[in-house]
This record gives sequence, structure tokens and C-alpha cells, in this order.
Amino acid sequence: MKHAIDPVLHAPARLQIAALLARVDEAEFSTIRDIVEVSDSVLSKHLSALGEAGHVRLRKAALEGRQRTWASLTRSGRKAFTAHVQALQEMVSQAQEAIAAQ
Amino acid sequence: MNNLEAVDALSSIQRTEGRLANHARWSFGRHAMFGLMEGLIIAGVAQPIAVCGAMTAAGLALMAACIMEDRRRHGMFVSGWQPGATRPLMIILMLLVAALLAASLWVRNGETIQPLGFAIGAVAFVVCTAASLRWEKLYRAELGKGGQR
Repeated sequence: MKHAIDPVLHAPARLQIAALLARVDEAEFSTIRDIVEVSDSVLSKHLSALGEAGHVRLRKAALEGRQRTWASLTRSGRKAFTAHVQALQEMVSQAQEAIAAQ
Repeated sequence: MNNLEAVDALSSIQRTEGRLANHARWSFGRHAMFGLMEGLIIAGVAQPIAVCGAMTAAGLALMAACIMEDRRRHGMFVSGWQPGATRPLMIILMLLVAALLAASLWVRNGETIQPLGFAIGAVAFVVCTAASLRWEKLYRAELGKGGQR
């Protein structure tokens, strides 16, 4: 396989968070929670893990008088996500080729 | 990871992008704000320095308002320079904007108000509003089908 599976993105919720952030410049905590359909605590845990891996940048900013957490993919996070998806696609296409060859 | 898990993972990405497609809807007013911002800046270039400064400031204020409104209303910001199907449209739009900007500069004499500059700004308003509407269609269509990375 040309591309590697990223162990940080292996968790389904983290992969979905990365998929969302890959399509926007920045998203707010509650928007991510609603789209990925996870609880606050689960999202918080996964965002921390992605932040520690250097895949996601987190910042606090006021919105309508309240402090909110905003998340965006880092350059390395975007690269890791792209490589991870390509690795998944390679796995699937190799399996399809193997089935077709039988 | 086995092949079934890989298929599941790819499906989960598509589902997330589908939900984002439902969330990513901007009003006509938001598209028109972008068009007005470009139109003001381009029309301003043809005008005397004081008018040009005022129109550019108004355009930049509109840009800030667009960003704040997106963050407040949608809880996210998408700049427009996303990779994928929308990128060619953005390149064409930037070329058109550069051509209109050059035309506005060409009619400028620096001393008097140039009505032709306002006409060029009006063209920029229509072109940019239409391009923004088209951009949203392409963006949502690409998300809806799973998208390209």
C-alpha cells in the first residue's frame, strides 16, 4: 500500500471530525458536535487527542458574549487525513480486484 | 484494519459530508453581500482618492461582516478556496475580478467621479453574486456525493 493508515484517525469519531474539518476552514464546537452526532464529552476527548497529535488546532474565541472553542485542521492534519483516506480507498479497491480475479 | 472496516470508514466520511451539505446553506443576502463587497472595491478604484478610500473601507467592512455572520449563524467559516470542484470556479472568478479591477483603473483619472467606474462595479456585483451562488451549488453537490479529497 502506498499510503499509511493513521492510528490517530482510526477511531470513527475522529475520522468524522477530520472529514468535517477538511471541508471547512474552521468550525465551532457545537457545530461539530451536531454534524458528527456525538456528545460534548466524547467530542472534547477526541478533539484533545487530535490536538495532541498535531492534526487539529484549537482556539477559544468569544461569540455572542460567550467563550467558544473553534477547531481547524492543521497542514499536517490535512495531509494525514488525505493519506488515511487514500489508504482506505486502496484497501477497498485491492479487495475488489481480488474478488474480481477469483 | 480489515476491508469491511475500511468500507465502513469511507461510508462514515460520506455520511458526515452529507450532513455538512445539509448544514451548508447560505441566504441570497449573504451571496449578495459578497457581490456588493467586490463591487464597491472595484467601483471605488475608478474614483478620486477620498471616494475610493470610503468605498474600499465600506467593502472591507462588508467582508468582516460576512465572516462574522458566517461564524455566528453557521458556527463555521468556509473561505471559498476549498480544494475540489469549486477551485476552477474561484480561479475563473479571480481572473474576472482582476480584469474588472484593471478596467476600473483604466477609466480612473484621479480628479473627478467616473460614472463608468460605477457601471464596472455593478457588473462586478452581478458576476460575483452569481459566482457565489454557483459556488454553493458546486460545494453542496460535491459534499452530497461524498466529495473528492
